Amino acid sequence: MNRTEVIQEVTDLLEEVLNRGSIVLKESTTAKDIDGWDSLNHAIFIGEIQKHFNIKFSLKEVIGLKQVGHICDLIIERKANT
Amino acid sequence: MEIKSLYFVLFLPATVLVYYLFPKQMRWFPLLVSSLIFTTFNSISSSIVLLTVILLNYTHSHQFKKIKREKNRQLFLWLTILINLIILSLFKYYNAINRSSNLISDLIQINNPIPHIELLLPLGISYYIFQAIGYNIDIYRETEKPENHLGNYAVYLSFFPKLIAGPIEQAKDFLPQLRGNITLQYQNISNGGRLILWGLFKKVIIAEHVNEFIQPIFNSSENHTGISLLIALLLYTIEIYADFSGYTNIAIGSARLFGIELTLNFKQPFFSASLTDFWRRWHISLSTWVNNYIYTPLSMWTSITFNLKKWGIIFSVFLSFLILGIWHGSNLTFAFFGGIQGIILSYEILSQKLRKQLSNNIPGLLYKGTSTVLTLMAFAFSCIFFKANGINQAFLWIRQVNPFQASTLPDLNLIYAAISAIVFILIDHILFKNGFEKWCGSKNIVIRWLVYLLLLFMIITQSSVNTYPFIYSNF
Repeated sequence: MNRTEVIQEVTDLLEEVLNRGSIVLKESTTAKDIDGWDSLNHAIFIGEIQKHFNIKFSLKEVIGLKQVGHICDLIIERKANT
Repeated sequence: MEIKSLYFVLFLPATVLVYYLFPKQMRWFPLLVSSLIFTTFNSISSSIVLLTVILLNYTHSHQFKKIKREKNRQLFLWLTILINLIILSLFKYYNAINRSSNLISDLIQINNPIPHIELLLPLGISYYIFQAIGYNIDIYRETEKPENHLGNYAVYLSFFPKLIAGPIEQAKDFLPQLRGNITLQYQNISNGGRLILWGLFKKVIIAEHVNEFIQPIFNSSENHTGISLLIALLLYTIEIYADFSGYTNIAIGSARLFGIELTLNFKQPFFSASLTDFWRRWHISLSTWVNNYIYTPLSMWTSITFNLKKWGIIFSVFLSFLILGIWHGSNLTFAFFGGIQGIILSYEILSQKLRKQLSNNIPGLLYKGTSTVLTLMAFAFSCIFFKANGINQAFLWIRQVNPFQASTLPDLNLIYAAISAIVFILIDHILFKNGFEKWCGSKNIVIRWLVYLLLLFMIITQSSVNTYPFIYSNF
């Protein structure tokens, strides 16, 4: 899957977690840029990404995960290895 | 060495003078020596423990780069954390474990296997051990590199202005300052002095005088009305705030004299509209540490391992605050204190949508005002466990706190104390919102000096006879 598709699916997931629409995510977007994307919702969001893409992250990988671009890198890398 | 003492009044400027006489690259030396002197004043064993923790963690922090396999790095991190926690637990919880073991041994009529040793809590151990653990975790996560300069590392853990009760500094904020180019600046000296003055005022005039009014009520709660006990409890939250934030002002002010910035630890906490918001404004350095090194890894782990969603978060929040409570001490009341924070925060997570709807439908000021009062009441309630000597006393006070039991009005002195305390909070939270030192800096020289002289006059002439160490120096 290409990067644009990944960002779109990640956006859909975040909208589901935050229970709102019209979220626009770019490669450089971080939690600070999106209203409601706090540390509580972030953990839920990561869990949903794992489930949706059927991949597994390690704890060390997700702790430092702040930018949408980095999240997408990890998803694409995991999908390529499965 | 008490920070309110004459020794400190002489010690601090002498240390500052020597510090600026040293060349910049050697300034770690007077900082380290003065910190060790400060610690040794408390006890030689405090210095020995501090030096042991410094050397142990410095050595460990440099081992991570030698370990290539991720599994081994993880194991080594756990070993490092475990050793630090054993040292902390030994001094903090040994006596409590020994007493419990005594009770059990008496019950089953065997000799207590745990030897009786009265261990004194080394000065600042709860704070520097947490710093050491946090730094090692950052090195493992590769967000920080290990400090090569042992002197700088030693100062990071031992720096005396923050030794007694924090702030719990993160290495990424503190260490670059030691490596940086600090010059003597008038602004730092004047702002540092202002903060120390304001901190002393908060401790000596506000905290200790509030304590004078409320301690007799806690000592004999059965002789006071429920409303008096409730007011005393609310005033107790202000006493803790004035005491602890006063200490923090002195710590930050003292550090500023050396050109070093410490972390803000309080940010108008009595204006919080939820307990979640409260813990972003109260003892910020501790809640940040708990968030970075306990809550975040725990919530991520429950999420990626079990995908428990909200329930994983609630579990993580509850456990994090339970640990935060236990950090304060071995008394079961502290566990209750932490647990209550966890329960209320869990409620706030579960009721997030409902509260958002309420805030959209209720006039803003009314919603914010009610939320603020409820948050204060919730925190004050949890402080029953913070104040009580034991669980029995805490539950006795809970039964006695009854605002509707009003056979007589509360004592007039208590009402006077409450009004004064509210005025203090409004001045502190509104007038000095950006900091007392910045407020002073914006005024002309006449007003500034009138304020300084007034505060000094009150500190010198109006100190309470009921003086006691800073509350958070006990943890």
